[in-house]
Amino acid sequence: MNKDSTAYKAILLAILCAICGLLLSGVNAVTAPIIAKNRLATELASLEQIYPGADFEPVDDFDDPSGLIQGVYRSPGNGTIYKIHNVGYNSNGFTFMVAFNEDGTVGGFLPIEQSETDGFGARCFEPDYTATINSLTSSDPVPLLSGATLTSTAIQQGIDAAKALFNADAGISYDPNAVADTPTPAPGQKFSFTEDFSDTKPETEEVSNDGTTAVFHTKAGGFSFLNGGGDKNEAEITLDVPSGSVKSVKVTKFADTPDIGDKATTDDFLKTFEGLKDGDSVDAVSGATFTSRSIIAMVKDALNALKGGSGETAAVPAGTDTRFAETEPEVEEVSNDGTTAVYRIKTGGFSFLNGGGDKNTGTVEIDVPTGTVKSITLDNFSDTPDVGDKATTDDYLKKFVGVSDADDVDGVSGATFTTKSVKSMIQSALDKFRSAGGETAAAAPAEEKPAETAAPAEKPAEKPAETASVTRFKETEPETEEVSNDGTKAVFRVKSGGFSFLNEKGDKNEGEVEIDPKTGKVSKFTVTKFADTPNVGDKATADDYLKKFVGVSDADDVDGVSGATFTTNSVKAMVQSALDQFAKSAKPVETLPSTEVGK
Amino acid sequence: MSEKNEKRSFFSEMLYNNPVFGLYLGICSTLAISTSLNNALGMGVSVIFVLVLSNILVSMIARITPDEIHIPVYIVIIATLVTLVGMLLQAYTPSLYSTLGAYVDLIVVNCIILGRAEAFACKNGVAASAKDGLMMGLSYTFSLMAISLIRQILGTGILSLSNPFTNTELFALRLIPTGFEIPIFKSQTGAFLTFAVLAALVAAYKKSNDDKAAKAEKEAKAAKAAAAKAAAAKAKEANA
Repeated sequence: MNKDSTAYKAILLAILCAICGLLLSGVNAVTAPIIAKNRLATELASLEQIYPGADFEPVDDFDDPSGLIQGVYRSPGNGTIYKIHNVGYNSNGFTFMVAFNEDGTVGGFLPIEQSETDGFGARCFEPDYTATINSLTSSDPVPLLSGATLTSTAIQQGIDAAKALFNADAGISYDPNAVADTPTPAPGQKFSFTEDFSDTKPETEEVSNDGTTAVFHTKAGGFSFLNGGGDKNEAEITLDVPSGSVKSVKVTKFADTPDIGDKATTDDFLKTFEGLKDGDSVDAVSGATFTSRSIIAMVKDALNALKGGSGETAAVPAGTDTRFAETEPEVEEVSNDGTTAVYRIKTGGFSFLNGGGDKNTGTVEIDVPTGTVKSITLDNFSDTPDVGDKATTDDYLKKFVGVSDADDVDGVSGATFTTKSVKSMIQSALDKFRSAGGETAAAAPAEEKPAETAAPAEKPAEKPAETASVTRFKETEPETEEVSNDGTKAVFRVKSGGFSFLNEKGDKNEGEVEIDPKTGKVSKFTVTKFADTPNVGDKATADDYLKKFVGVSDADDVDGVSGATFTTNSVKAMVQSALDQFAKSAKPVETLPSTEVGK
Repeated sequence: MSEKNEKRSFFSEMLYNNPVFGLYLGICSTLAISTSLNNALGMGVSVIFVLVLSNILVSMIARITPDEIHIPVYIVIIATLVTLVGMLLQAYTPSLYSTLGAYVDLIVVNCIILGRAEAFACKNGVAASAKDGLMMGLSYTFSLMAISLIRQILGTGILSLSNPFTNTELFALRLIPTGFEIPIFKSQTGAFLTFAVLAALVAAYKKSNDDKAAKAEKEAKAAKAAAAKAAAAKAKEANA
């Protein structure tokens, strides 16, 4: 046959392949049993951990469509062991063995090799979860492990592949699509509603309140916000108004880490809030502490909002004239021509009270003869558009015309904070108007004569508002006593009411203000008695803050301390009342006659 | 091998035609498995087995193999031999087999084997082909052992050897105190570094030898020319 012919080449290749095939099959026949025995020997140590002292036969011909089963070993009289390899979180994967006894129960679950993350996927190989697996049968669905979703899903897939083979061999019918109950998130640290969650910077806006059910839209920072300045989580909190308890919590925006923080957004966890009231405690979700805290903070803030406030700016008790004190009104008389008194006013609304943003600004005109509101216009709106501005419409503002008290007009549902800000403007103007002709005695020290410089209501005020006697801090009821004045310094002992005095009828805060007679400015200021809430109000009595008043001629030259509103007001009232007192009693500084020397 | 090469010593021959340091063949498996002396010997013996037998078989059927199908014929032979080696290793030296892993099967595509079949075995007799296979296999094995020695000693501090059939340790010498090992040599980075240094040393040795040989040849030529000249002068004197 010609060497170059196709037939020759084909025959040559065929003969060569046949010879090689025969040779390989011969060697295989000799080595295959030895190889099987070797494989069994390497697995024996692991197999004997499941069935100690048992005999094992490797099963070579098994049909595993999933490709996860690496080996099958039958132990006569005991059961069948499956060696499985799958990939969870770590791309290297992990290997484990699962055994099914002859009666279908799980005979053992043995991790062989794994490098999943400690505290997360590695928990799947800890006693708690392996005990769960060991309690199953070949018909039961494999539960996942909360906080280790990827790894437990991979384990579930591997065991399902083994179940399929075992049940097919044993003739056991089962539902391969059955799903185990979602495990309840593991409880973590307990948090009380009384704890401080101010770091989460909660924001709450009342959406509706029909007297029975109040709905609040809330935001609070979780992991993303606190660790990277990301967005806050958001939720809708529904409260039962009569009992002041939680009806439901619904997370509307999750900004934290998926598969980690969202364990705290499951229905199971959110249901734990139902029925809770202010002062109760909640178990956070283990492994999702930041998100748990942010949700707890939102619920707490909603409960506080239902009561009317939060922190030191908590609800002002009824019956006191400090209804709008938390809005920190600033009133400036613009003019008073005997017919109309015009006041420019700043009061804090949602933006100010919940995020330290700007106050709303407006102009209120008081009809002098009747002492009622003539008009109110909003000059600057700083709250939430499309939410708060419902309380700034012309139709709503017109309702204040003719009133002598801000609460003569109902609030606007869904714009609680802005309503309060607007009402505060009205009331501040009315109070300022009245105090200009009436109650200045409350701002003056008891031993002093009634302020003669304060004009009665019928007469126009002669002094500009900036130097008017302490009407700004009237609610703190400041008391000022001049201790000494030697020409180099004037010392005043002052008292003014803060949170404790205004909300709990407690003591006033006390201090000592020194004023430089030459400049009329504060030269020293110390707080000698702090009567407000420790760790809250004392931020406004810290030395660093009090030093800011040195050199001022008006208390409002220094900004307030966020989160310590009442104490700030009290501190400022002390300074202002001392300055005012000094201004009233200031004597001209005597100058020594010049001497002519050497002439 | 060329006539010139036959005059070199055995050691020089190992270096001059070294498939790893001289011809840069089979680098992939060399770098991957040269972490211990056991691996080097195991892989080396496997390659010698396949090289020698494939050279013999290729030489035997070269005359009856048409040129158009010589590549698939050689591949079938080499693949069969590699599969045989794999089965034998898996059966009788399972720990070595699991250590060498996929690189046992990759002997099929080791350039040394197909390269020698193409370059030598198909053109020479069976005995010469067998000798060539053995020499190439030994060169490859020595190269592997050189790299493995350095990497194992520097990387682990220990030089050891085990019986691959019984897994019993034959010897283990700690040559570097604990804590002073250089772990980088256990990794691929160390493999490249060791290979580069050894290849450079071999290249330097070859260049030095070539220079010496060239110088010796030049001197021999000059001596020969001088002897011829002297003989011619003597003959002229005798005739005079």
